[in-house]
Order: sequence, then structure tokens, then C-alpha cells
Amino acid sequence: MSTSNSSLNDLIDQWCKQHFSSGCAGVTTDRMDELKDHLMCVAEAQVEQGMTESDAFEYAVQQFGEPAEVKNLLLADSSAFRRWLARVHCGRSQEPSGSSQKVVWMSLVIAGALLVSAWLMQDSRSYAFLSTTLIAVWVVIAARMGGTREAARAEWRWLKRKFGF
Amino acid sequence: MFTKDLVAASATPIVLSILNESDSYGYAIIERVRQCSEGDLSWKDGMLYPILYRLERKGLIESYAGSSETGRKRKYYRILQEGRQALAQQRAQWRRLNQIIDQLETI
Repeated sequence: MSTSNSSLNDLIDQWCKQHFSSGCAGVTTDRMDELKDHLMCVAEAQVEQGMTESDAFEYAVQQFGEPAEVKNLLLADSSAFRRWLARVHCGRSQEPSGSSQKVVWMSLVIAGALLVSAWLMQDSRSYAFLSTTLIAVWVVIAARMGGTREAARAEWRWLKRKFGF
Repeated sequence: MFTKDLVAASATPIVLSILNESDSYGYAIIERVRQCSEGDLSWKDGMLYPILYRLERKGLIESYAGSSETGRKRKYYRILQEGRQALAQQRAQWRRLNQIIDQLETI
């Protein structure tokens, strides 16, 4: 078996992203890597038997089954928090991605820090400076976080659906 | 060959049995199932993963990071003591069911 099989890698990567990584409705990165490894194993075995890469990819995908069904099963087995995230973010029964979870957790931490500092600090100018700094830090971290853009897009779509603008 | 319900019901003892032989990973587990059942048990590959994650959450198996022969990242699973106990229970239940069905057939 060879991993230098770049076109197979690309096909599988693209397929996994399409079906398992749609913003907050995607599966976590380690699960995605596991599914990719599986598809690569199936496809490589077929290539070794003489199949072309594109046919081997089609075969692997066919053997895998219906991705939406697998995603729903994954969600059904995930924690109540993850299901809640999926409902809030996507408005449907899908598994939220690691990125969405990171964004939510980080937002909660920053919001908590803002509340605590508002409670502890008496001086309004110092508080204004601290809150501006915290928000700036949040924006910078979020912007640098992998997958944040997709998560933000999905959240934006959800807001548009929810409030009809 | 088997109905969908029967395939679903037998999935847990089959996966636990395979991991009881040795640590394994998704693709190898599916291949082992195909080999053992001589193609009679046709699982869609993707359906294995929700089963593995459920067993892991229940504490019957655990996963660890490894790599393939070619260096690709790979997740392996191993059975835990609780998993061995659950497997023994399930095997006993399946044997008993088999006895009941056999008994009824001969009446």
C-alpha cells in the first residue's frame, strides 16, 4: 500500500469534507481522519488488484454506505451537549464539528471573563480597556482557529433562518 | 442473507469477539467480519464506526493512536475487562437463544 497516492487522497479528502465536515454539522477531526484512513485502505486494496484510482474511490464510497445515515447514527450516540449544539447551530440532527465546539467554549470563557471583571472592577475606564482587550483577543484567536470560517458561516446561516433576514 | 435486525443485534458481540482476538482497526474489523461470515454478513463499512464509538463510550473497548505500515495515522481499538465480561454474557445469551430455536424446531 502506498500513501503517495495523491489523487486518491484528494478524492477521499474532498468526499469526506463534503459529507462529514459541513461547518457545525461535521464530525470531529479525529473521527474524520479515521474515516479517511478506512476509505484509503479499501481503495488501495482495489488499486493493488488493478482497479483505476477513480474506480477504486467509487468502490470505497459505495462500500461505505449512506454518509447521512452514518452521521445521524454518530449524533444519536453523542452526548446531550453535542446534540444541543447541533440543534442550536444547524437546526437539524447533525453532529457539530470540533471547530464549532471550540468557538462556543471559547465564547463562554470570554463571556465569563467579562462578567467576572465587570463584577470585580470598580473603575469604568479600566473595565472598558479590559473588555476591549478581551474581545480583541477573542477575535484574533477565533480568526486563527482552523475551521472557524466554516463554523461561522454555518452559524450565520442559522441566524438568518431563525430571524428571517 | 441475514435480516437487518439480526445484523444489528449481532454487531456488538461480533465486534467484541474480533477485538478479543487482538487489537484492531476499522478496516481490519470489517475484513475479518467478511472473512468469518464468508460474505453472508454484509455490513456497510460506515456503520461500523457508530458501533465502535458506542462501545467505547460504554467502557467496553478503548481506542489508541497508532499508525499504518506506511505511516498514516490510524486509530486502534482494544477490548477492556468490562468488554470481555459483556462478551461472555452475550455469547451465553446467543447460545441459549440458539438452543431454544433448535428445541422448537425438533418438536
